Parts: sequence; structure tokens; C-alpha cells
Amino acid sequence: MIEMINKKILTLLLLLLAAGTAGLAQDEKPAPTTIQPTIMAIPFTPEGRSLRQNFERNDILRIAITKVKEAFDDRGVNTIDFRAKLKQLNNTGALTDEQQRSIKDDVVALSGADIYVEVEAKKNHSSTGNSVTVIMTAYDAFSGESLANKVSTSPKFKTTNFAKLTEKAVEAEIDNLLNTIQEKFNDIVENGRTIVLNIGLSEDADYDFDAEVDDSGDLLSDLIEDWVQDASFKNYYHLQGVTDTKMIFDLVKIPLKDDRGRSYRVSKFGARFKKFLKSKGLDASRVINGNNLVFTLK
Amino acid sequence: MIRKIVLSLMLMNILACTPTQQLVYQRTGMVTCSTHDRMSITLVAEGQAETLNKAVSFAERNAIENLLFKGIPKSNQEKPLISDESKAKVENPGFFSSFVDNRGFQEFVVSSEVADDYLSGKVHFVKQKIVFDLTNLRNYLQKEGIVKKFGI
Repeated sequence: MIEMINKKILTLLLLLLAAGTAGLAQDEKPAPTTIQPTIMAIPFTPEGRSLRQNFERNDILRIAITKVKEAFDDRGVNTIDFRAKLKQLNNTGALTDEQQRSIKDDVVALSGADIYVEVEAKKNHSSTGNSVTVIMTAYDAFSGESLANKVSTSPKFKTTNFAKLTEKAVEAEIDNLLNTIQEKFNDIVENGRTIVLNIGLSEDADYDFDAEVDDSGDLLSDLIEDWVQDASFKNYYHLQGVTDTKMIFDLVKIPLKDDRGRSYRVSKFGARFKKFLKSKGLDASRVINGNNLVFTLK
Repeated sequence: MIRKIVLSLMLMNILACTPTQQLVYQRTGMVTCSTHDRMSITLVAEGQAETLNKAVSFAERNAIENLLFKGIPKSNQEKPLISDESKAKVENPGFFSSFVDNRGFQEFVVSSEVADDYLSGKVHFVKQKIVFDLTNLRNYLQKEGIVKKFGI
């Protein structure tokens, strides 16, 4: 009898152990990790006009920016407040009128936003009712590349509550805007980021791109193109043009992450290219501006 | 002779009792957006089957499949929630069997009512008005790893 009870206890323990192990196995399924970018809504400002004045004097634009930010917040997207950043910029440096034009770049750079959305809003008055049109254009802050744009007009209502009309216009398209941005992200993950590579020669260089710099018999331009092809993500690149003093790759794809899962920056690609040039006995200076990489061979 | 007549009658009887052909589900693009807001989306989907209940069920499935895999024109969900249907189905066969085939999606149906129903021959053609809880549907798909959160 005791033996039978012991057997039952043993079976029960084994079953519990098996269930526990199964549970652990299920728990082990890693959740997909997503890097959430930060977004900042900023006012669209025509060339030559002050961004600050445009923001402060245009009530419908301020409403639209607030509504766009709210809509992102509601969807759990990390946002940065434009007004706060503008204020911070004002506090950190005394801005003169001559500097106004560059405020947009400064705010974007200071904010640390990954994406900025330029917002434009317009009131429409008519005898059949009023409406608001909102234009939203999302840009990659790093490269300046356009990610998505949407135009949305609210339904017409016989009201002067433009805040509500703006909200309706924003709400109608904000999901589609986010979905389009997400599609672009998916494409970046799949096909890599785009950078531009400009290579030139310094004035005192005693060779050009038609020179042979090693024993292979290939021209320097051919060697560089072969290297770019090998180094670009999925060998995807486009050579816009080549002369004896200049080479412009207007599209070179680089991966988002390296083999060890770390961010692959433009500077890393630049460092690899510099090493390649060094292996050919060439010295070069390097300038990185956003997704633009400029090399000057000496 | 009598035997032949009896056999013929029996055969006719059997043929008369044969059920009408069962209609099977087929996805169509006949799904439109009625209204939408931040939390929900109201779709009008069409379905057809030999019974009203079955036609309603087909219409609901048509609505969720369009929302998941195709996107709804002139709505806040113009892009599908799942961008690559075949890849998602290959990677998560169990999920879709339970969520779509076995109607797990009903958890996210806020309301479903027949907007129109007409009988043509023995087939019901219905237009079904369905309200989906979009926010929770999206959150659920993210939690199950079927769609990614916003980001890279």
C-alpha cells in the first residue's frame, strides 16, 4: 500500500516537473525587441521666414502641432515637445535675427529626435461650413530623408471651434502616417540605410582616379567601386558619376546593425573605407554630415 | 414493372433529399469603412452563404481578414495591420488557425449587426456592420509577436 502511494507521489512529482519545464520553455520565447524612435512635431516654415515667429503668431499651427503630438502620445510613441526645445534653445544661446533661419536645424539637432514631422495647418471658411486642412511630413532627422507625408481635411461643420476641426483632420490620417513610417522602417531593416559617399582629390594630389595604385592593373576608380560594392549592404550601391578627379556614390546601403547587433554608424563605414585607402598607400581626410560622407584624397 | 417504378420513385426521393451545395468561405475586397476614431473602426463587410448565420460569419471573417492583411481604403487603416501575410502565416500557423479560422478575433468585435440581407435563390447575401476594438486588437497582435511595435 505504502509502495503504491510512493509511486503515485513520484508520478505526480514527475508530472509537475514536466509541466514546470514546459512552462519554462514557453517563457523562454524571446519577445521581439523594437527600438522606439522619438518624434517631434515642428511647424512648417516657408524659406526666409522666422520659425519662432511663425510658431508664436499662428494659433492654428500651434493647435495642429499640439494635436499631432497628442495623437502620437496616445499611440504610445515617444515624443519631444517642440515648444520646450525652442525655449531651451533660447536659454542656452542668445539667438540673433540672422540665426533664425538655422533654428530648425538647431532645434532638431538639440532635441535628439530621430524623426521630425513638419506640420502645416490652414483654416478653410465657406458658407457651407468651416474645415481645417493639415499637412504632415515626416523626415528622418539623421539623413533628412522624407519618410511619409499625409494631407488631411476635416469634415465641414458650421462651427468656429477650429481646435476640434484640427483634431478631426489629424486623427483621420495620423495612423496612416505612422503606418507609412513603419513601412519605411521595415524597408530599412530589410535593405539597409542609405548614405551618400563623395570622394574627391585635394589640389596638391599628384595622382587621379585613372591612376594605377597597386599591381593589379586596375584603375583607382575601379578599385574603389569594387570595394564599395563589397562593403555595401547586400552589394547595393549606385555610382552617380566618376571623373578623373571626383567619384560620387549617391546611394550606398549600409546595415542598421553590425554582426554583433550594435548600431552600424556612418562613421564605421567611413573608418573601413579609410583603412582600405591606407592599404593602397593613400591618405585621406574625412567629413561626416548626417548621411553624407565626404573623403578628400591627399 | 412495378419494381422498376418503385426503384425510380426511390431514386427521385433520394435526389430530392440531397442538400443544397455548401458554399465555402472566400475572401473578397467587399469591405468598406463606415466610421473610425482613435480606438475603433466600423466596417461594412459582405458575405454570402446558404444560411443567414453562415453568411454573417463569412462577412465577419472577410472584415477581419481585410483589416489584417489588405487594409481598408479611405480609413485610418489604409495599410494592413500585418504587412506580409504569407510570411506571418508561415511563421505563426497556430495563431492564425485559432485567431481567424476558429474566430478568436471575436474577442475584439465590439458589435456586429446585419445592415442588409436579401435572399437570392437559396443564398443569403448580407451586409454586416462590425465595430472592431482597434487599439486592443493592435496591442494583442503586438503582445503575440505578430506585429511589431512602432519602431525599428
